Order: sequence, then structure tokens, then C-alpha cells
Amino acid sequence: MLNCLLNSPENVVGNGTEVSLLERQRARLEWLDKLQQPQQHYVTNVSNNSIESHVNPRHRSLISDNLLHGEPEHQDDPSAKADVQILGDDSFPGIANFGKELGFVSPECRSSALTFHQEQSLLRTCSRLPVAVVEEMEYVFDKDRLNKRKAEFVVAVECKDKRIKGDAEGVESAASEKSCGETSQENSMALEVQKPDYIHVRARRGQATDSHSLAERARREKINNKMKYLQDMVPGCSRILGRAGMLDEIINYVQSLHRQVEFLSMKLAALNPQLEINTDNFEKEFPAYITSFPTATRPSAVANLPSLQLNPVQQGNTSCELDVLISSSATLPELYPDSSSFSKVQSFPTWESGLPRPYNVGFH
Amino acid sequence: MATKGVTLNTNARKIRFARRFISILLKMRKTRSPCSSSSIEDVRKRSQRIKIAAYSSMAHAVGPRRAWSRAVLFKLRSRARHQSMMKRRSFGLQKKRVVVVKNNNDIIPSGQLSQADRLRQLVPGGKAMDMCSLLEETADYISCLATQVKVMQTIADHFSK
Repeated sequence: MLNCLLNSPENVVGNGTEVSLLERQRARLEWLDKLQQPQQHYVTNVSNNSIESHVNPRHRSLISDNLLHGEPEHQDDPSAKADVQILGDDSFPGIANFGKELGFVSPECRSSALTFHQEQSLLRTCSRLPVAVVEEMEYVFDKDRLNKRKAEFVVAVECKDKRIKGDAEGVESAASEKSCGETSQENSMALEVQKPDYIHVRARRGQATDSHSLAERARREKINNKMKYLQDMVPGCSRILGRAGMLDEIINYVQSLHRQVEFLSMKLAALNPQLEINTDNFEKEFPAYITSFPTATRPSAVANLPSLQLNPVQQGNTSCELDVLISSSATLPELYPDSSSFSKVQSFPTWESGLPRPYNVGFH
Repeated sequence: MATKGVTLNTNARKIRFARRFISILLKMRKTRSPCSSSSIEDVRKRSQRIKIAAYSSMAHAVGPRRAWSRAVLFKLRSRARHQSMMKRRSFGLQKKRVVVVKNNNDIIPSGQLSQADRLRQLVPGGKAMDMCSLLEETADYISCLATQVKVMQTIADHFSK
């Protein structure tokens, strides 16, 4: 019924320009849909005050006051009574006709159905329609548009998955965000209206609607999101585009990190006898010390070798320590080459020149 | 964004790892006899122990939340159990401990391993994971390894000066 009310200001304001046929049909369909719900409200009370019962309780407060205001004035008006009777009619065609008369105006109907006062009151009610109701009406039209235009891929579980912590790093594309928003809205509306037991899924245009392929697509999208997250973590991966290359880089990076740990443990084993720590104070100071670690730079494993050269001299046995260190560094086949750090490499002593290029050396 | 939460998380992990690792190093220093010659074998053994200590302290710092840390802890505990059993059995005997290395699906089936399999071998506990969770665990494992390396580097620098 509100469709008609909405349409009537258009007609009145537009000075009789008729609403387009499509909108009329849409409005009719939606109005009929709405009628199916509050069917019980359409009681066959013909009394003047019973307009409230005829109206959907949601919209009651909007319409009733003005209509009632309009009604008593024209209580004696037979046309008004006829209106009420038509309004109170149970049969759908009758109500549809009334709606038609109200909304899709033919002048003769207008004159018989409503006087100028009532029209004004209706206009006032229309202008005062709350935003939520207007939005609902718009949504009703939007739903049609959704059906007609290209449908989006929609899985409610997928939307939830995309809010996983790991994926929160700006992985969602605009389309998926939109589809998530629409999905949630659509799902909520669907739940209100239809109460389905399962998730409604829509396939993209031109793609298979098989449940297997949909599940596979969801899985593939998850994996792609995680690969993107890994791409941010591993340095130098932003330029690589394929999945295979990315995986190779990741594997290399993990292997290099393992080698670094091994090398550092070797270094610490060599340094261990020189640990002179005031344990009590140190344990307290250490957390602060550690949090001040440089986070941006990566360790320069090879750059510290010159400093290690001095230490064995202090001990008795010099040669074997050096041998150990050199052999350990030689066993490192290849440190992870970071092309961005090539420019930062300092000049090393000659015996290191045989070694492959190290990491970023900005540690000192 | 999740970056702030991630950095807080990594800081806490860093501190826990550092504390544990340093305490282990100190223990090792105390137990080590002061006048032993630093032969290569000793250094290698010590480095092996330090490496294990690093991985175990990292796994403890992360806790049982992650699959890879659980796998590491399980490996360590089973190893410790195995070692204690061996000690009990071969008390006094100077047996060489034979370590059985299983090469099940290494290179035998086809010429080259697939990338996913190689990644599974690298990441602890990765053999029983599907691709999706494997990638997730890899990301966490990489971040933990990076912090581990940074901390160890800083410690080494501190003690080398």
C-alpha cells in the first residue's frame, strides 16, 4: 500500500505524468507480496476507525493519524465510505484496484476516491515516511535489480573466513567486500523473510554452479589470500607473480633462516667461554635491551666474522677456532641474496671475498 | 589493522624466547668445565646443543597454540624420552647411538619433490597438514624464525664486544 502512497506524490508532483510501466508493475508485485504477509490484518470491519486494523501495524502510526484526520471530515461522504469499504475488502483484486486507483491515477478515480484534503494528508504522510521504511522500499526495488544484474558470488562462510586474522592484511578486493556487505544484508533479509536452513550461494556469471566447483573456488581463494600474506612476509617476493615461483622463494627463505640459526649457534658456541654476565641485573635489563632490537634490519652474519677473528687470539688455541669458523661459514652454501641490499654491501677483508654476498649490512 | 596486534605479539614472543634462551646459555656455561680445550668436536657438540635450545625455547615461547610449535615440542620430548631410555639401558656401555633416518617419500617416488612436499619437510609438523593450514603455519614459522635469528644475532654481538 505504501507503494501507492509513494507513487502518488510522484504523480501529483509530476503534474499527472504517469509512472513508468515497469515501476508500476514492480510496485504492484511488491505490494502483492506484502499483502500476503499481514493478511490477517485485513479484517472486514467497515467502521471508520477500523482503518488501523486494515493497515500493517508497522506503518500504522504513519498513516493512521492523517487518514483518520482525513476520514472524520468526510465521514458523511459516501465516496469516503466507499473507500473504506474498498479498503476493508478482503479480496486481493479489490485492494489491488484500490491501490491502483490511489497510485496510478486516472483523474476520475482520483476525484471519486480522494478529495483534495485527503490527498494533502497522504502527501504529508509520504513526506514523513521514516528513513527506514523508505530504505526498505528501496531495498525492495534493489532486490529486483540484484536479480536482474550480474549476480555476485556469495557464501556467508566465505565472508566470515575473510575476517580471519591472517587475512586481515588488506586482502579483500572491492568486489568481495561489496559482495560480503550485500550478502550479509541479503542474508539477513532472506532470513527474515524465508528462514532458510542453508546458505544460499550465487555463482558468478559464466561460471559453473556445481557445488564441487564452488567449494574448490572457495578453497582456491583461501589459498590465494594466504599466499598474498606470505608474499608480504618474505622479502623480495613482491615482483614474483606465479604460485610456483613464490613457493620456491618461500622454501629458499626458510632454508636460509635455518642456516642462519645454525651459524649463529655455532658462533655462540665459540663465544660461550667468554660469557661474563652479572646474572641478577642482566635478567632485568635484558627485556628492555631486547625490545630495542632493530626490527627493520636483517642480521649480517658474515659481517661479524672480522670481530670474531680477534677473540680466538685471546685464547690459547687460535688456529682451530678460526678453522672452525671458516669451515662453518664455508658450509653455508649460499646466503639468501637480497637484491635490494646489494647497494649497501660494504667492502670486506679479502678472505671473505670468496663468500657469497651477505644480507643487509646496516647492522652497525 | 592487525599489524599492531601482530607487533605486540611478536614483542612478547621475543622477550619470552630471549629469557629462556639466555637462561639455557648460562646453564651451559656453568656446567661446562672451565679448562677444557675448545676442540672442534666440543664446539660442534655445543653448537648443536645451542641450536636445539634455540628451537625449544622458541617453541615454548610460542606455546601450544600453533601446530608447528606443538610438533617441535613433541619431537623434543620424545627425543628426551628416548635418550633417557638409552641411558638407562646402556649404562656404562660406550655404544654408538644409531640414528635411523627414514627416507620414505624423499626422492624415491619421482625425480623431484613437489614444492608443497619440500615445504612440508621444512616446516615442523607440516607432513600432516593440508595446503591451506600449511601456508598459515609457514607464515607464523617464518616470523618466529626471523625473531629468533635477530635475538641470537644481538646476543652474539653483545658478547663478542
